[in-house]
Amino acid sequence: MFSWFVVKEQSMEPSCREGDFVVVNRMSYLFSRPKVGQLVVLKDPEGSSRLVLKRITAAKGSFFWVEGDNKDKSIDSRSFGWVSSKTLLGQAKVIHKTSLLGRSIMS
Amino acid sequence: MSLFSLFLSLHKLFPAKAVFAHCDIPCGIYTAEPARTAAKTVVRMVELIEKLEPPNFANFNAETAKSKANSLVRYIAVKEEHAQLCKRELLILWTDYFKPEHLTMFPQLHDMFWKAAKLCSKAKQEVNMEAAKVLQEAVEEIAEIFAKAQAGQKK
Repeated sequence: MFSWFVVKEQSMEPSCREGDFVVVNRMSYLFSRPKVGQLVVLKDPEGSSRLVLKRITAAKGSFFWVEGDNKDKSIDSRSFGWVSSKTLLGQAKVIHKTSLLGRSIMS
Repeated sequence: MSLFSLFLSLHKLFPAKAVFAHCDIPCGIYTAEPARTAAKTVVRMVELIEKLEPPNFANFNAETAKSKANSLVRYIAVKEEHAQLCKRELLILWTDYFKPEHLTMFPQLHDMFWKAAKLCSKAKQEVNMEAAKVLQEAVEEIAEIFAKAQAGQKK
C-alpha cells in the first residue's frame, strides 16, 4: 500500500531535495482523482525503468501535466507532454532531510 | 528520533529505491557549439571532395589512384558522421533545451529545427556545396536564437 523512495537529482528543489525520502500511497488514486498541486511519483514517460517525482500543474480528463518545481533544471511535461493517469503510482509525501528542533517536516 | 532519522536507519538496513526528480545530466548545460562545428566540418569535407581530382586514366598510376580513393572514402565518412552528429546535437537543443515558452519569443523555432534536421540528411545524401552552406547558415541562425534564449534566461 505504501512505498518509500530516496530522492535523486535536483529538479524538485526547493520543495524536495536530493537525499530526502518520499512516501507514496499507492491507493491514493483508487478512490479519488489526482489534483493539481499534488506531488506524484510516476513511471518515466520517456520510457526508462526509472520512477520520477513531479508536481501536477494541470489536468485534462485522465491526462495530467506535470512539472518540476525547479523549472530551469527539470525535464517534464514541457518536454514529454501530457501523461496518462495510468502512469501515476500515487501521491507522494516528502520527508525532508532538514529538521526543526530535531523533528522532521512532512509535506 | 525524527521521522527522517527513522527513515535513514531503515534505509541503511533496507536500501530504498531511488525516485528521480529527473533533470538533465549535467544539469542545464547546453551549447550550440557542437552543432556549429559539425556543420562547418560538413562544408569542409564537401570542399575537399570537390577539390579531389579523379584518377588520370590516360596515364594511370595504381598507387595514386589508391591514395585518392582512400582520401575520398575518408572525406565521405567524415561528412556522413558529422552530418549525423549535427542532427543529433540540434535535436538535443530542440527537444531538451527549448521549452514551449520560447515559442512566444521565437515563433519560427519548430520550423527552423525541422528544416535544419532535413538539411543534415541532404548533406549525407549528396555532395552539394550549396546545400552544405545552407545547413551551416541554418545552424548559425539556431545558434543565434539559442544565445538570445540563454541571455533572456539570465536576466
